[in-house]
Order: sequence, then C-alpha cells, then structure tokens
Amino acid sequence: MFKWLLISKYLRRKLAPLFAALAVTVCTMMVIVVMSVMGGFLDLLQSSAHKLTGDVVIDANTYGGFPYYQDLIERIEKLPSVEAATPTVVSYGLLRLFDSTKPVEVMGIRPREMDRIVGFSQTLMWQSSDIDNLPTNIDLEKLSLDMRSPLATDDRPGCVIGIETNPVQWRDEKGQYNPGWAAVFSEAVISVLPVTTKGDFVDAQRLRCVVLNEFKSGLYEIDSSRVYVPFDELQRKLLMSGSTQSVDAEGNLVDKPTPARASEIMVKAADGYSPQQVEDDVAGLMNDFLAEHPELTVQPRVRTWMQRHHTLLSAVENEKGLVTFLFVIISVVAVVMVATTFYTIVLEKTRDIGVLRAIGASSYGVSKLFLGYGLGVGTLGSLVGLILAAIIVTHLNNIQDTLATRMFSFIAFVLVIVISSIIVTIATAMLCRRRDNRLELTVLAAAATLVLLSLTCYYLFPHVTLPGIASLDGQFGWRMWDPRVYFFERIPDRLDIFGSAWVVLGAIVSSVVGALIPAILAARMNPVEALRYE
Amino acid sequence: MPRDLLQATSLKRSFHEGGRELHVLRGIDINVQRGQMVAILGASGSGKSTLLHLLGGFERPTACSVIFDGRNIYDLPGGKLDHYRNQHVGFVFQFYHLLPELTALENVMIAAMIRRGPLSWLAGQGATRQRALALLERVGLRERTRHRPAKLSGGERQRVAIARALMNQPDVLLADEPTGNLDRNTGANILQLLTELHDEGQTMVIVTHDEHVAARAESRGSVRRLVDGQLDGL
Repeated sequence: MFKWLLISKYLRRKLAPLFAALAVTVCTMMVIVVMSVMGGFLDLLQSSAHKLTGDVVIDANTYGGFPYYQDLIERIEKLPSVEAATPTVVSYGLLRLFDSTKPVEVMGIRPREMDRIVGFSQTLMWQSSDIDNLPTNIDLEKLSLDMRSPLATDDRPGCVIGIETNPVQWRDEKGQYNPGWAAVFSEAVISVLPVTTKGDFVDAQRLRCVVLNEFKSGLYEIDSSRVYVPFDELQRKLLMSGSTQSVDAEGNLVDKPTPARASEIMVKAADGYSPQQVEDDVAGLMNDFLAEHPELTVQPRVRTWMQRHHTLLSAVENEKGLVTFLFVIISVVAVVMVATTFYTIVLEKTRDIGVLRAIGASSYGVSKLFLGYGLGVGTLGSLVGLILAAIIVTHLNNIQDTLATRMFSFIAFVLVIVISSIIVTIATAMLCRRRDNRLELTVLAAAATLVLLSLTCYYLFPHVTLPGIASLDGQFGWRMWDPRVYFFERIPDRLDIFGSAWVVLGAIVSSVVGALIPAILAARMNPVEALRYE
Repeated sequence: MPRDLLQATSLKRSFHEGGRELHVLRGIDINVQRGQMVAILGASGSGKSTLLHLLGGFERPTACSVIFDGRNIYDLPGGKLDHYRNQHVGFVFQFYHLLPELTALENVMIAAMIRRGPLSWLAGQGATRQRALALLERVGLRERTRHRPAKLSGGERQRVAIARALMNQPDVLLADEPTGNLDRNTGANILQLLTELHDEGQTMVIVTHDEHVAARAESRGSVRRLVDGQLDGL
C-alpha cells in the first residue's frame, strides 16, 4: 500500500516526473494526430473510391466490352446477396468545352440505376438555386438523373462533367467552387473512338451534349478526367449497342448481327452482405456464364471495389503506416526521457530506498514502487495526450482557419496569455511558499487554468482582434492545408478511437519499460549502502 | 533465568577495502533480554552502527549468526527477513531518515503500510491511523501531524522517527546515535523519551559515543563498550 501513497506523492510534488509525463503527452498527442489525420484521408479516399464503383465491379478486361451483359445482370440481380446491378460503357475521348479541348474518360451510365448503386446524385455539385437566372421550374438534379436537355425541342442528350474538367472552374482559397463558373447548359462536344471486338479502331464519333451538372467524387484523378453521358448514347456511338451489322477485321461494316456490349457491371450488395461475399457469389455465376459463352476470348474480371482501387488505396495506406511508424520512432524519446528521469529519481531517492528497505519493504516492493511510478507517469501523460489530440484533431480546421486568417492576432493573444501566466505563476508560487501548500501542483493548476480560460475567451469571441494586428493578418497568413493543392477542402477531423486506444496503451507500456532499469537498480540496492549514500 | 530475545555469539564482520581485509567486528557476544535496555558505547568508526545493522538484519555477518527468538535471522528467506525488519525490529537513525514528501503522520503510518496490500490496508486503515496519532501524541507531536519533515526541528524529526519505529509494536528498538545530531537539551529530551518507553517495557539497544547517554542507560540496564571490534562490559 505504501507504493500508491509514495507514487501519488512523487507525482504531485516533483517536477521531474511531470516533465517525463509531458514528454509522454507530446509523443502520444503527436502519434494520435498523425494517425487520425492520415487515417481520415484514407477513409475519405476509400469512401470516394467506393462511390465510384459500387461494392463489386465486373469489368470487360478489354476496351471492346463484353456481350450478353443484360442476361448477366438479370442473373446477378437474382442472387440474394445482390441488391442491384447496372451496366456502364467506358471509352476515352476528347472533350471540347468553352473552346478548350482535353482528353477525358467518357462513361455511359444509366443515372437512376447508378444513383441506386453508388449514390450518383450525391456527387452532383449544383442545385437549381445555385445557378443564377435559372427558371424556377427547372430541377437540375432531376434533369441530371434523366440526362436530357430541359428543352423539349432539343434532341441533344445531357451529360454530367467532372468539376475539374470545366476549364473555367477553379477553387478559391477555402477550396470552394464558384457556381458562377459552372458549365450548366453549355454545350459540350465529346469525340470518341469506337473499337471493334478485335481491338481495331473505327472512325471517330462526335457526341454533342448539354452539360446538366458537374460532379465531384472526391478523387481528383476522376473529377479532372471523367464525363458521364447516357449509356445508350455512348453505346451507340461506340458501336456497342448491337445491331444487324458488325465490323470486320479490316474495319468495314458487314451484315452480321452482333450482341450489345458493355464495359462494366457495377453491383451493389444487399444489406448484411459484404463485398467479398458478393464477389464470391458473382464469381460463381461468372463461371457458369463463361461456360455458356466459350466464344468470349477475353474473360471479364470480378473484383471488389477495394481490389479495383488497390493501387491508390494501398499507397495511401502505406504512407499512413510509414508516417505513423516514423512518429513512433520519434516517440522513443519519451521512453528515454522516462528512463532518464527515473534514473535521476532513483539516485535522488537512494536514501529513501534505504529507509524503506530498513523498515521492512522488500526489494520486489521497491521495484514495484518505481514501476508503478512509471505506470502513473505513462497513464497521466498518455491520457492528457489523448485529450489534447482529440481537441486538436476535432478543431484542426478551426486551427487552420485561425492560422490562415488571424495568425498574428493569435500570436499576440498567446503572448498575452503567456505573460499573464508567468505573472500568475510567480504570484501563486510566492503564496504557496508562504502557506506551505503543494507548490508545483498549485502553480501548474493556476497556469493551466489561465491558459484554458484565455483560450475559451478566444474561442467564444473569435472576431475580437488587437489594434494594429488586423492589417498584418490581412497581408500574411499561413495555410498549412491549402485546398487548392489538396483535393479535400477540409482536413480530416475525426479521431481514430481504436488506434488512439492502442497508442495510449503503447505509451503506458513504454513508460513502464522506461522505468524498468531504474526499478531493478533500486531493488538491488543494499539498504546499508543506500542509507550511507550522500 | 529470562530467555534471550536477541543473541549473537562471536559475531564477525569484515570489509574488503583498498585490497585489504578490514575487520570491524572481531567476535561480538551480546544477549538482549526482553524488557532490557542495552547501551553500546564506542568511538566514532568503532563499528557500533555495523553491529546494529547486523542485529537489525540489514547486512549479513562474515561469521556467526544473529538469533532472534530462537531462530537465526540470516537463515530466513528474503521475504521473512523483510518481515523481521518490519515487525520485530524498530530502527531509529542518527539522521532521522524521514521521507521528505510525507507528512509526520504518513511517515509514522508507512511502517504499517509496508506489509499490507490495498484491501488489508482499507480494512485496517482507521485503526492504523488511530495508533499513529496516538504515537505522535505520545512523543509530543499531536499538533504537528500534517507537517512535513522540512518544517520540523531536529528533535521533532527524531520524535517522528521514534514513533515510526514503534508503529508495528516491535520486540526490540534499535537506536543508532539517537541524540548524535541534536543539541544537548533536545538530546536530553529524546533520551528522556527513550527511557520512558523503556519504563513502559520496550526492549531497546542504543549505540552511542555519548557518555551521558551511557550513564543514563547504566542506571537501568547494561552498558557495553565496543573497542577494537570487541565488546567489554563496563
């Protein structure tokens, strides 16, 4: 029982272990913040990637597509693990918009089916209210899902373009797009190159369409290069819609019936089924399908969305792991700090150890005292680190905004806090000395309270600035996360709770390990030698 | 004939220092009976403290053994030897050796805390606290229980140390120069306290170089002189 009494006393009345706890706090906070932010990126990427392909995708594995897709979809939709499936046609072409031409990926889709499978409408950027001078009876979302021109007399199909394919659109410093630059109701001309089933090119086809909306998936590579057009239109332009004619090996049209083809089938899992389960079921179905169609020389592939985007996701996952690992290595400093502090304490407390041994404490009990001390430092430090990390992660965007728009006001504010804290600390210390109170704890509590109160005031009154500083804020500012460079406008601000729990546990174990050697030294101490120690 | 509580025969202790053997105790014979006060008088460096450490189970003798209540304490396993130091022996040091972070009351109670786990401690906490308070009152420090050692005078610290030594109702109190670091008056007060405790039946062994202490002990027990590593009766 004496161990707990001494641990609590040492923790409260010594500054050295508080510094060790501070090192643990900083390291814990650092690792949790890095892990949460990087994990947040990965989550955003995964979410965006998932929304692009559904749970499972069957792709043709060739530019020419695969036939009998409608029959396959009917069979797939009968699987209990599948909720819905939709075909797509994918090609590459040139987009001409506002006198600018750029290469794009053209995807023919059935928008309402896509909406059901991947929430297509959620990626649409503009509502009718966003666009100036739009007649009130026009519903942009409905038009986008129908993919047709708002004018009954207009026979051009509609299309939805990636927001970054619009040559006049750009993001401001907050990462926001300007609806004034939206290409809504502008004409886009898309040129595509049909390919025969044997892989030969045919004459380029032009598709004139009306831009009904812009979409933002969250993946820059997609948003800067993809255009959605109606499935049937693109299928027809690519000569994949099936007809009584076909293209021979020389590229000539011949009178031979060909089945319609699709490039991909996107599949959504039914509730309670994982993508992996759906993949297994669909793969089983594909075996039967391929057995029935031996003429398919290139076999379509069945992959989950994670397998489809493996390259992108695993790269970010590796980066997350690497950065976290580097910060964990840096955090070894906390272990060294704890070990050094405890070694110093053991030296300082040599005589006390002798006294404890002299009055009957076992060497095991003395070692447990220092291990418990390490446990206390680790627990205190890591929990404070967790709290600070949670505050930082959840307020990361506020912090960024402050640094970008009010950095000098903030620095001035911090200086005022620090000076006030020093004054309060000195006054408290003098008062404690006079009253024989617990000096260090009271001083720390006073300083911490002042800092917290000040930050609360700063948070509650965000628009209060100091005279003369506001102009500096206007001219300078540091945006650590520039949404014009990175594609997500906001820094991920969700705490990785599971990962944080492991980091806290690791910090506690590290602190105990740091205290291990000093604890062994203390346990081995001869009581007589310890009592004679000067 | 009363039975010996603590006994050592031909007790030897030597140290290796600077490549030679230093014989500090060359064959000590000592018997301490229950209720007896034994004073050991010797010059500085004569080995008084070493003898007390051997009797208290702090370090092993080079030869012979220390018999407590019929058993050689150095044959006891480590845990039992710790138990001996905690339960059967109370130690008072010349330099008090109080734990600076603890209050006077906590310094006294810690002797009782050492052998108890959290549950046992919670069960008996009240009684232990009452005993510690009673001891502090007994040594005249009832009003100073919440003071830390740094705020106490030398005499007060030694009183706290005596209270701590008595906390577990030890069979024998071992005092190493208990007045050696105090002025004359304060030392006399501490000596008075020790003699009162002896009157109450506390067995004690006091080592000192102070003839006044020896004279006080002589009137109520035996005084032995430690010379050249051996004890002579006065």
